Amino acid sequence: MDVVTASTITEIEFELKNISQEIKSKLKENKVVTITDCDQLNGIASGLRQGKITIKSSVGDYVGMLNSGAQLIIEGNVGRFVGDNMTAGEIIIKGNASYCAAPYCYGGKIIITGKCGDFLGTMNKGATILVEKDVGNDLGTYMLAGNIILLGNAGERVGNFLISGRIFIKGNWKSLGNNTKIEDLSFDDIDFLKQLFSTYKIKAKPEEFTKIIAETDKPFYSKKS
Amino acid sequence: MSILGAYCVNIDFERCTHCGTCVEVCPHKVYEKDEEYRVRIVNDMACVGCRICMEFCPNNATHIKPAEPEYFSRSLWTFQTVEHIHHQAQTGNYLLRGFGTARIIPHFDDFVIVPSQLASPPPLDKYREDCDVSVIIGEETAEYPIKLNIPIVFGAMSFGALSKEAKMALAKAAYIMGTIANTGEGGAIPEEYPLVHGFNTLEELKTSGKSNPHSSNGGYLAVQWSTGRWGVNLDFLQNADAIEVKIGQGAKPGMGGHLLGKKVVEEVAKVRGIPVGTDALSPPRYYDALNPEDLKTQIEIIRDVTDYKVPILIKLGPSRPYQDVKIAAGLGVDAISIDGMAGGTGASPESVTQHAGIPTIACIPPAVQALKDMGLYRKVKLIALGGIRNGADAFKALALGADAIGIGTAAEIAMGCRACMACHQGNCPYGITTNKPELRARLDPKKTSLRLANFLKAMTDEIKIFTMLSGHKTIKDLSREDLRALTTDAAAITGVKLAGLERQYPKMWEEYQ
Repeated sequence: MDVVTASTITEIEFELKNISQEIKSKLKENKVVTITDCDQLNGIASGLRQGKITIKSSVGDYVGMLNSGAQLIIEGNVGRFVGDNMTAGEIIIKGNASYCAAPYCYGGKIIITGKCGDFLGTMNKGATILVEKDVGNDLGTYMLAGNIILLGNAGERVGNFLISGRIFIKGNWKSLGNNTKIEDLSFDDIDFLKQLFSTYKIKAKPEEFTKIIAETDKPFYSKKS
Repeated sequence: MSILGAYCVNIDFERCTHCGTCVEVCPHKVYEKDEEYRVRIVNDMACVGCRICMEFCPNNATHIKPAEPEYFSRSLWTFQTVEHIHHQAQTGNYLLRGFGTARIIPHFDDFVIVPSQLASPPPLDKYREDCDVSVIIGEETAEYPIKLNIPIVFGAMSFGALSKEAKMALAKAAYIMGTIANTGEGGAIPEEYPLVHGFNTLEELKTSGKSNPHSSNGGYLAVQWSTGRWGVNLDFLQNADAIEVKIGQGAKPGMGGHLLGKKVVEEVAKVRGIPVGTDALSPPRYYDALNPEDLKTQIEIIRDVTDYKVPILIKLGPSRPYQDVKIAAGLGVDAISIDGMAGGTGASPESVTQHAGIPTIACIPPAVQALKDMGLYRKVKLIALGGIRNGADAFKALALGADAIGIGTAAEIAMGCRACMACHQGNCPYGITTNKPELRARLDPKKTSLRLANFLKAMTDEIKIFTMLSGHKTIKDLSREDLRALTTDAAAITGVKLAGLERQYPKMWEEYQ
């Protein structure tokens, strides 16, 4: 296992470039990379296509941005916009995530064992996002595809202007957003949740969840279907 | 509707042979054949004034006349204005339309170009001497800077707003002329990237042995990083020759992109990652960047994931150009595109297009001043867009201080557009702003790319003529001294000397310098 220590980098303006290059070169050698002491750093482990990276500290904003196949395990809290625009791979956060986690994702999985701020999964276009504790307001705003699974409680405007995709919530929410409705779980939904919970060893029963979907996929100018 | 009640449709039945050509070519169903197979006008309010019926009528029997002359007799309350109010009263909806502003605003026509005589270096010989019109973007920051052969780039126009064939034509024309084609915010079609590098398919490009197309001297593909993030992934960014971070656009600053559901066909939906038929309405701001510091971090990450190979541009709408450009330059970009109010769009609320933003000529001088104040003028390149129609407009923008100019609407017109302003309907009779197969078939990408290349060549020649008659060997030497304003408005807005007065009009401009 190779350890990349962010604190050894002294020239602040080049720190992202230097750390990225070090991570990429270790991954090319098929090594499992562990990063420590990167509390203040933004954009760590962005744009990776493969490999396994463990971050053993809390970390700044934009972690795993544009992830395209790598597995990231973060043993600490993450800043804002974790997993921004991810298309494939997996990000597991063993801690809390700040504002707007997992925005603009096209695919992959993001698992957050702690709490999350507002605007989780904004404009999600295909990723599966699972949060084990509570989230803030505006969960799944303008979501177009994918799944958000919440074991805790949600704030205001859940799924505001949802277009497509599914939101499953075990706890309570303060209010639903525009263009949302509640639907019974289908067999497919139950199978999907069972498989997900089994993969991530989550003790929950699919039947305990409420499913929220879009009322129509055309809530704006085009006519409602 | 584009502009309600803007056109009067007539058929001269003494000439009409009822051949039905107008019925066939009109995508707006203005004409139909009755039970006796006679052509008649059934919906003249649907006419958008594209005049394709006039163009194809073999007997010169159809006539489309604008209702504009009423402006003189009814002043503010023209027929169009009345119809707009009726439309809003009946439906409760504001009007949406494509194209761009249709009002008279201070424009490049308010300037004339000052030729060289005795008081300045003598003019150069256009026919026997050279004139440098090249522009380099990202020379100091990117491994593969963009080396433009001409100072004209194509503005961002997305797939979906434009047909696949139109996008292909733009990419191929960019290759022919050695300039930038821009994906806009709708993702890239598979053909776009190879075409811009001189290949027909990705396979051809891969088997060509050309390991790094970024370094080619053909065209360049700029991809947009926008608030909707449609079709954006790592491949999309890493294949690009430049990345443009979109903040706003001229036709609807402060609003995100609008692609109406009727244009979101299966192919468009696939590229954007959205359901077929749903409106793709980009947010007006980034959800994942709350302030300029966040944007700076994003830009740093984009540079990192693209291995510091390609330049990064930023595109601004017409708002507060001095402050906006100062902030943009501080983000570490290689070029700043500023799109004036006269810029085009595929769809926008009409009132926004007509009333939000400031004229293009008002954007350039403050932007130049901001770059000068930061010591970045001519290092961070300034690209001016918004209503640039020909080489004269382009020269004037360059003389106001831009390093290069961009065209969007003029490129569409070069492709065949007749400026009917109904791009949002998806029924473009010339196959440009439509995704309907039968209309797309009317646009041949290869022939159209040659029309575009011809247009760029002619524009560039015009720029050279004006540059040389002003006594300059290179567009880099142009300045406001090469222009004179014809109106006090234009002089006051830009600091260009008023023709005849021979000095800057308001005192504030003297202080500004």
